[in-house]
Amino acid sequence: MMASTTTLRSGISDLVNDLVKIGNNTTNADQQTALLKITNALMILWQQVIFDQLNAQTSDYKTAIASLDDAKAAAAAAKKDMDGVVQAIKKATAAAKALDKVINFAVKLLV
Amino acid sequence: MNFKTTTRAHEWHRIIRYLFIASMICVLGACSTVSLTQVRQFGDATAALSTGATGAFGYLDAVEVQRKIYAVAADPSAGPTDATFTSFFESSSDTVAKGVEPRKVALDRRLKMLESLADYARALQELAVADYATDIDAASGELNGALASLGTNYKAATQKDMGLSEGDFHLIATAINAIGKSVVAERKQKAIRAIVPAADPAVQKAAALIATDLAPDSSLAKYVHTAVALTRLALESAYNRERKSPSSTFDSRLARLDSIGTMYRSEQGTAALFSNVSKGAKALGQSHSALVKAVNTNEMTSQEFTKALADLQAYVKSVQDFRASLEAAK
Repeated sequence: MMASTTTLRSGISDLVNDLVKIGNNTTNADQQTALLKITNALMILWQQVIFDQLNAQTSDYKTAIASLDDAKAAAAAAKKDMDGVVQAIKKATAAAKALDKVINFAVKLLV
Repeated sequence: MNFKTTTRAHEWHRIIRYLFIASMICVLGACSTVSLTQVRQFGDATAALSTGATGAFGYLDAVEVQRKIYAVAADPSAGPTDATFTSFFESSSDTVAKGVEPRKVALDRRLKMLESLADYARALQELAVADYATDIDAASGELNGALASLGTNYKAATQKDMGLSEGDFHLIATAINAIGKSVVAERKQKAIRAIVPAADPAVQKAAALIATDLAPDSSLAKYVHTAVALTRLALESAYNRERKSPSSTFDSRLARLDSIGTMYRSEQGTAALFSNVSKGAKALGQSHSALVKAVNTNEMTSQEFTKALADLQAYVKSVQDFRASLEAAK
């Protein structure tokens, strides 16, 4: 259980850091604001998983991990080609919603 | 061998004998009145490291509020809510999952443990500088109290036993009482020899917990670093929005870029802060362990203790420098 929880933690941590790097690489204020909005939701979810012990065996947990991987791939693509920023934000939002099903925080209010 | 040579040889023997006796007096004197400066320095550095670790937790709280305020300010369509001003450890009841204690409780337990560690260090320091028998008794009492408190708070923070039983405290008290009314310097050393080894398991466990909690690759350290990075992103976003405004001037852009530069340097410093606190906690454990070895061999210092203490002092200085740079940036 601990190892899987750590994976969720590191998944959020890696995704947020990739999104920050994308934000640093663009000079488009609107894209930066959109990135700040989605990272704000992810940071709150990250806070929750630092302390909570989650059940890694549930289907929601596995879906959240898959969604995080998907978002990380989109963020990695956007780091290479800034045209992919919109797609990265879309995937990160989907990941935040999948994470929220596991963490049970009202992320819908934030994204 | 003539008479003159024999007399000279006698003189040399006499000089060598005097030198030998003088050096033995120095050695024996040093053993009985050995300097407690390093024990005092250890107490000083441990208390300072504890303050630094407490500051690192506080920094995390402050950075989290700063991040959210900057994010709201950077987005013209967003406005503040109560959540904007909630710090990292100030989790409100609606953000606490079922069966999980509020983060503030976890923080309070760690801060109390750090306080107990600092109390122990200060009491050890007071003992090292005590000049009168009554001061020694008072410092010894404080040491016992600090250790009891350290055990209680460690258990609360980790749900694990620290390894100090009632029997251990009784042994310490008995050892100190047994010192009786001997001379002050001797009483001091005997008290330290009784307390330091008994306290070691507790100090080692507390130091290990701090080293792990605040390690550079820990969740808390990564979170702080990212929060500062996001604060910089909010500033960059504001810069990019404002630079196209007709009211934008060279001076206003320069001022904004200076702020972004300061935040960029904070990002780098944050990683160093957590690294230094964590390594400092490890050095604290090593110093205390070396002190135990030294007092067990009837000394108050050793080469190992000197080196470990120097490492501890270096990390403490780095942590203090970072705190000073934050103050200067305000």
